[in-house]
Amino acid sequence: MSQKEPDAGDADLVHHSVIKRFEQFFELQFERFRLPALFFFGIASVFFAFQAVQLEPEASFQKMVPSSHPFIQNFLAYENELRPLGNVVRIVVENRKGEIYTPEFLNTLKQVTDEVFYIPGVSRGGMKSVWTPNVVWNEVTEDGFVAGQIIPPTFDGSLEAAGQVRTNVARAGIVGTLVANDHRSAVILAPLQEVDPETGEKLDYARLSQRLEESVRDKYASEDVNIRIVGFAKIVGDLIEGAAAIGGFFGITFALTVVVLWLYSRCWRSTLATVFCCSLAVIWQLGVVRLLGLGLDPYSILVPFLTFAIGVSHAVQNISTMAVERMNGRSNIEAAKATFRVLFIPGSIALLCNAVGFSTLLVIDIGVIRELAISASIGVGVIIFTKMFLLPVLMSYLGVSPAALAHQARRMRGGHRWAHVVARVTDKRMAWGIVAAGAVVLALGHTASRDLKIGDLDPGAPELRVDSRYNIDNAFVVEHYSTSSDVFVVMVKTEPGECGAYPVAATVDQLQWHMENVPGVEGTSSLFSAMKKVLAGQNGGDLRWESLTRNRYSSNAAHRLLPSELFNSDCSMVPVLIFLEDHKAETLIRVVDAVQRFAAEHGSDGIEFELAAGNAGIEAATNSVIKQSKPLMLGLEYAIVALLVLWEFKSWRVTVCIMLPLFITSVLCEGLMAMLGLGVKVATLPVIALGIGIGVDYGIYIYNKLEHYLEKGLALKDAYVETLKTTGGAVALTGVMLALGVATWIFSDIKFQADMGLLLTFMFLWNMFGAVVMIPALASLLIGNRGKGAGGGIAVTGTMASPKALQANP
Amino acid sequence: MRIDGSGITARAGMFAVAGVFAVFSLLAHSEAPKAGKGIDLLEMPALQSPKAAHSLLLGVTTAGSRLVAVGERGIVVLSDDQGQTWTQAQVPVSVTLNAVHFVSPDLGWAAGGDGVILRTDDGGRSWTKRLDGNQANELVLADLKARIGAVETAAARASDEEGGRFQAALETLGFRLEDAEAGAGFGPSRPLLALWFKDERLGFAVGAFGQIFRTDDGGEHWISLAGALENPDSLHLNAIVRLPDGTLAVVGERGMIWFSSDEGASWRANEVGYDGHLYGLIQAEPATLVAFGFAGNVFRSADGGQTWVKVARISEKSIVGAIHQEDLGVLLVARNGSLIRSRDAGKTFSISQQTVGASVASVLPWPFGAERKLVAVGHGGVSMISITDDRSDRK
Repeated sequence: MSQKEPDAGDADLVHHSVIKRFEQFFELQFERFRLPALFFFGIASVFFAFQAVQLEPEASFQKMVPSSHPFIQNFLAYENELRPLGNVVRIVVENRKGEIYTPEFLNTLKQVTDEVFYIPGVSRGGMKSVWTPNVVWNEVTEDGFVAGQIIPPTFDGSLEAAGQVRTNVARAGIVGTLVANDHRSAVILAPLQEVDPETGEKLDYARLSQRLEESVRDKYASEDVNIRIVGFAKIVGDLIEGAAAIGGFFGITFALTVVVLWLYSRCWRSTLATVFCCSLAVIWQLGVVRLLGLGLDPYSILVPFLTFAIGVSHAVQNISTMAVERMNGRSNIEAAKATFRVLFIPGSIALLCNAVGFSTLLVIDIGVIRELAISASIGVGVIIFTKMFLLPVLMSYLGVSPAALAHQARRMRGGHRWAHVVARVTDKRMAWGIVAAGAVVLALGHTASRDLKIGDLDPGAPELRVDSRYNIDNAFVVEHYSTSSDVFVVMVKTEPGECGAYPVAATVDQLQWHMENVPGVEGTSSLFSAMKKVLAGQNGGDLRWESLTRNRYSSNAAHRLLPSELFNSDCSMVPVLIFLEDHKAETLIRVVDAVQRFAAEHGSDGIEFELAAGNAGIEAATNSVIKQSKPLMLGLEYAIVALLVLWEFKSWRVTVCIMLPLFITSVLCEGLMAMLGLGVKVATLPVIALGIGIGVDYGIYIYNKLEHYLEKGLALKDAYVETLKTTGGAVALTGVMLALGVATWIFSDIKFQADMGLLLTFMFLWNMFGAVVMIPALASLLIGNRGKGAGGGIAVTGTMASPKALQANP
Repeated sequence: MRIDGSGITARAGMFAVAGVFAVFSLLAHSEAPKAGKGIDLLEMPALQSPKAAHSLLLGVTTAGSRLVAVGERGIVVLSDDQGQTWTQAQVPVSVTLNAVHFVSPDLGWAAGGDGVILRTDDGGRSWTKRLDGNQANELVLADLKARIGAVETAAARASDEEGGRFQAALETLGFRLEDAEAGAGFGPSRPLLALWFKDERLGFAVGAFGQIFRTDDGGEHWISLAGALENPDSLHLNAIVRLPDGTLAVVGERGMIWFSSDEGASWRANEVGYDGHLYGLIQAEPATLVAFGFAGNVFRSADGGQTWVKVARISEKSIVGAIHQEDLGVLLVARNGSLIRSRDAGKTFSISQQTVGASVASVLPWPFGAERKLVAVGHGGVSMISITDDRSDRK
């Protein structure tokens, strides 16, 4: 049996006749196509680059939520009306020196209020602070019902006037909302408009956030004054900022990749050609993304990394095959052709598996995940072009440097002791041991993964790190104000005009009381909480009147005094705010269940309970979508990848050999997530899909080579030694390349990017390990030495005996 | 209505938004509410809740050695360890309960929103409904109609000379009947605010819009006394108290006090000369009464309630309760928990204890011995207010 003539690929092409013809066509035309191909790639790259540079980081609320979930539909139906409750920026101005009631501090607060007023995107009418005229106190005195602004227009900045502000704050009941419980800070509440009513332009969160930083935090923060900013828009702004920063990590990934590639190949030509082709893939991918009208959100900004890493990991096979072919004495062109021939099938199948793996993410009805799926599939698609076609063409011109050939020669001459050691896993006893160990690892992973939670587990804004400035600001607000950052909103729908009627009032009040008794609920608030206070106020502050009334005159009179954000414009909906201790999945499920139970019992035609808005309501919807989609997505992914593998290798035994290690890795990954306290969420669910889709590459490349040697009649162990010799290093390098591509994310300011980086790194490396160790072990048990042929062995699977294998035998 | 320099009056505000809310006003006049049935708090048993004892509680009393407090959402809580731990009673309604009174360790009543009166025979553990606003409305209408009938009969027999007087009385009763009918249009909407029982049979309950009811059989049957009080404007009645000499007194809106010496059969009206609410009345020494009310207003009568003088006001907070003890003098409790004391039988008062941030609905003198403190209920449930015995005050 000749090792010098790895007459590669042919065995494959036997059972893929269509692809074979396709491949042969290109192979035959290779020389003629070289120049036009370069020209075509040049033009296309310029075009895509032009598109790519126009991409801008963005983050849209709608894309991060499951937009067709009923909760979200209900929320979107009332989005405008709920805005003052939802999309709000809170700017906390803190007096570091004491309470807020000093003329100087109140003056600063006024300046900040004015500053915020002029920030584009702020809904000016809805703005609230102790300085805005829409915040009033009212009180029943002997002279009647008296009301006034917290800081009256007559405020003269005197000490007395500042003292009067304290009284007004107390009687307006805004301690805990607009003024901190300890009176040392005050809030400017700025509702935002997602679309500018005048220009029709979409709110630019990045600019808004930047503006808040520049003209509020930077300008007013001092030794005496501390500025804290919280709100969805700030989260988005920080996300965009963090996403842009991750661009910098690309440089590190790039540099590391160059170094590792060179160390592996010792050839500048192939290293640079590879990096060049993979960078082109990234540019193409970004260009196509832009042409499709998609943006670059904090999730999809990770796709270029993936594209690059996948491209490089596949190109490693090119480098190694090219070097081997050149070693065999072929010319640059012939070697390039051979590379193309050898890698076309396994490479395309592997990339197809990747793309399919990503596209199963489409079953998850969440915009960012779908865009991630689409743009990652695009990335993989363009790799087929740049790596499958362009790279061989380039290499045919560049060739392999003599130094690299010498390196390759040394490598091939080497004793490959490690290959023999590793190949021992194909011994039956060893294989049983490996499989048993795999089973134990699987069991451990499964046990650990039972603690796996759905959803976000950390307090504050889970998108950002716990110690990020945003979450520190948020913790301050939670601590010093009577608000929770986790709000679940139930929308109670009534006939138009009836939102304040007694039956609604009684029902909502009972809903609130029921919900307040659900563990995890800190408090509730609604139109009627406020109405009860006003009714007591209208009765001289007598607490016995702090109660709902069936008397429509009384309730209407109270209703008129209440802020309009407590009900919608035609009075057909009352939002009920439920403040939660946290947004853990169990808490959310408990709350949703309790509301739905109450709704089933007490809902009626005129009083419908619609879930859900507020960050917690939206998270509940997201969790439920994630929970439902997870088995579907994983099932689909495993099924499709397994089918592709089956199609490629035409053997269910091989399919099991390749799929089982992947399964163990996914279970281990879930166990790891549980141990690290990471929930299954928008960020981590894709990781599992990516892990499987990309992880299968190793198996395909390894088994492809293994099958090749088996069909040449080598015993399994020998075949595996040969496989390791020729492709083992490349597979290991693939794992390292992929891991490098994602490991830098771990340092991102964005928590979920870090989570994704960590988990992907784990999956890529562990999948590689699984492929190298588990696949041959499983193959030894399931397939045996089916390729022994003339060696006297009986083919285990007769159907698989290929004429080529017999032919190949001397 | 005052317009202060800085602000707007509520009424002006109302006009400003009247247009926006025109739809409400229109709907308010339409008769049948369109909204679905929803929950009727009169039919909804109170939710058992670990948070019950920390809810808004409005009335507190003792049943033997047990503390019983009532409050919002049909909450009744009981404590057998002087207020340290509380258990929640079974209550068939979820309306606000405003007042509670026991005549023995087992037998008690509570009154509250939607004209509800509840009775317990087991020391407060479980309660049954004995009256609600639907019945209350009928009782009021029946009483007024009967009185109108009686006056008409009398007028028919009367001479022309007396006729004018009857005519005036008929007009007044007619207005009150109209008021009552209009009020009944909203259903059982009028809260009862206070109740007092003399023994296991005879008891009274008073409430909003001039409601006053009497039972002679422990709450099984009630009659309306509304027509017996001279209260042409159907003013709210805030409290009913028994003075040491056995006289019953009801205090209400617009500085009104009504006295009855015949267990409520007839009442004589007195005015303290004040336009706001009175919330209570206490005897400072024989024949000397102190009435207190909205915005820290206190009035004193040295002739058993015939004539009243205003006492210099020292707090702007409403006075919600009062106790009189030999060693303490007269102690008034303000809405914010501040204590105001008089050492001279109500002639002068001074702040004896400032409290910040509390919200008190009513108080009970400490019933378990000589400790100087009050059991207070309000927002957040039950709290104990220790009375600091400031000696300087004694001089």
